[in-house]
Amino acid sequence: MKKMDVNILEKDEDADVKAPESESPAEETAEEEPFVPQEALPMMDEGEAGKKELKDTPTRDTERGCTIEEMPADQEEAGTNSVVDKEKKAGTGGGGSGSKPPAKKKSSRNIILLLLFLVVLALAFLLTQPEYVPGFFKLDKDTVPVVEKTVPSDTPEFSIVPAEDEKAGETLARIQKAMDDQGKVVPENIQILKQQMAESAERLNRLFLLSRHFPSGLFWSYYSTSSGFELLEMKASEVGLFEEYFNRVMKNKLFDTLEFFSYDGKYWDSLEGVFVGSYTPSAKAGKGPLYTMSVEDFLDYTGYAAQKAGINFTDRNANTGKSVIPGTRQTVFELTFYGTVNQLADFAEEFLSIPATFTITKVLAGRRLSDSYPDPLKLTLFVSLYEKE
Amino acid sequence: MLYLSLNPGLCTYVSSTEKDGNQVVEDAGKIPVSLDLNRSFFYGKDALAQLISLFKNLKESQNFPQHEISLSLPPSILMYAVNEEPVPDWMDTLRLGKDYSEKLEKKAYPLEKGQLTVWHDPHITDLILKAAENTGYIIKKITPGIINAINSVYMIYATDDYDKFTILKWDAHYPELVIFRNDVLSGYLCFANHESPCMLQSSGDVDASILEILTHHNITEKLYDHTGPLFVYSVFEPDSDPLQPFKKFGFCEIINPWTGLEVSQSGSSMFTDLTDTALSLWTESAGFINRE
Repeated sequence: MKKMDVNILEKDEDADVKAPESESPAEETAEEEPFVPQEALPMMDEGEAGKKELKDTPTRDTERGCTIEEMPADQEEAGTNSVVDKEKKAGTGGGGSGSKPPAKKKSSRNIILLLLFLVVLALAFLLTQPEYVPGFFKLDKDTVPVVEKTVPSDTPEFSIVPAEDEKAGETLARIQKAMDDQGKVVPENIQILKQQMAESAERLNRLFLLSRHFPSGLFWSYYSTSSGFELLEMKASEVGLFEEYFNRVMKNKLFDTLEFFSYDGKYWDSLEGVFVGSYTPSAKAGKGPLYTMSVEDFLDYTGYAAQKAGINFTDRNANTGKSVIPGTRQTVFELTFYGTVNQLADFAEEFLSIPATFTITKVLAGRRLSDSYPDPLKLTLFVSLYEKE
Repeated sequence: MLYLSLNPGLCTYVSSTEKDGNQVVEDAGKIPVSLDLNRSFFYGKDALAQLISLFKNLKESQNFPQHEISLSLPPSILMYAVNEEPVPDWMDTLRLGKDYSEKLEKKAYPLEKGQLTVWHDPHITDLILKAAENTGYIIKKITPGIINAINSVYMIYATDDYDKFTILKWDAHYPELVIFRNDVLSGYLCFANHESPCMLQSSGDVDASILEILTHHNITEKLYDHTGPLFVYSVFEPDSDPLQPFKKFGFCEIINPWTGLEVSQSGSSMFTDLTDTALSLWTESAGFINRE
């Protein structure tokens, strides 16, 4: 460990990092000239010069795995007061009442590695001496297993990058690699956007989660927004289905609260009513970068995902405007899909993996009594796409 | 010299003077900070006036007036990253957006392996300098608060025998942690301590699942697997002890920033009957003082 001296007020031109202009993701030479910070800060040298050899100062209590350092006598005798127990300059000692896990020793690891190496060496020696190898363990060339090379599949997996756009693919891969390798500094608003993306994916998936619990004979329409409330307007073909649905979802703890309102006041004996539920999102923002994608590309990918799932798709009302995220613009779509629950679930999985930055602000879905079965389910999504300006 | 640590909620200070070549603490204290210290605050109309008011408040609370200040700031004002390679400018643009990244100044400081990159917004730092100047102070140094905590641990504890250890700043707003592997700074994490916590900055070799363990109501010993021995300090003082969840584990050490510091008779009076958590509030401000 090294003492650090950081002062952002120091006007030292050498310390300012200026990456070469040529370092752009589109340029192949970006990594050819890694930037080396020059003498950084003079203060850093001082800190380095004054680096403390901790090994020299502490007295180690090896039984406890912690470190106790005695204070110099002259300091003890000084007429100054200290608010601490000066006699203990410790490692992780004295912090709590629990047992202290010993620090992992590098030396013990080395010994284990050495022992393992010796065992392997001994085994290798024994197995090369015919007199030491038991008969059942002898290998001849007929019994040596052959590892066959796997034949690459003829049907390559769907790639997010169009095959003809190889340069875009390389650039994307390089950006991805750089983002993974290097430190991430994410402004709070972008992190919140990532959290919203995770929550909107959860919002869409809840439709399929809740629909799995519908008893047959229940017709419903579903409405969910970013407020965390969900509304299920329902019609039942027989009395008792509402109560059954209520019991199923509450047993599975799918809602924090769920209230039922019947239109005719008959409560569970009613055939028409509405459930109002609330839940706490549990989705966590994922790691990785935020992608930017144009409106046209986004709709193409959405169309591709719909086609893959075998469902129909229409889009309308695309409004582009200023976004609250600096440096981005936002386009709001109303996307409508028709398909069975299973088809829509397949589509949702594909849709949510599109490498674009978007949130789903509303989910509307349902099948009404007037629909003749098996008319496809209608799913409408209100989507906000964030695009880099 | 007045050593100041500014965080949303609390500002601690230590005032020292030189005696026989040694730094002796003659005064220490803390003042509440009601400012949000985020970007919207600093770009607001009355930011300068409110900062001046803060410095005036500081001046009134001092028993031994000083004019020169070393100031440490929280991660809401400065941003940091621990990297093996320098962060190229295009990466800043990609992450922070063109408008925002163009506003920032970036400096890199070499580590034993890799480097620490610090970004700051000159508009914000200039505002702080100006407010201090208007109150009769001169700010000589601005440094990230967690760096001072690193220096405190460096000067007080023997850490070189650990494969891995962690320094954790426990804050109601922006907790931060730094991970050392083989005594070398290798990772940094900062998150917003809301009801559903958000990771704000993460760099180097740090496991993001630490965040989930740390923000769980009951912190378990699983934490040790991710952090190794933990050196903890607090920068806020609610009614109950914020470090209580950590204290039950033997692998957590509440940092005592006063270890090895000479404190004058007048300075020591204010520490009477303070808990170890309360003492740790000065970790960043006392981390400026060289006690080697």
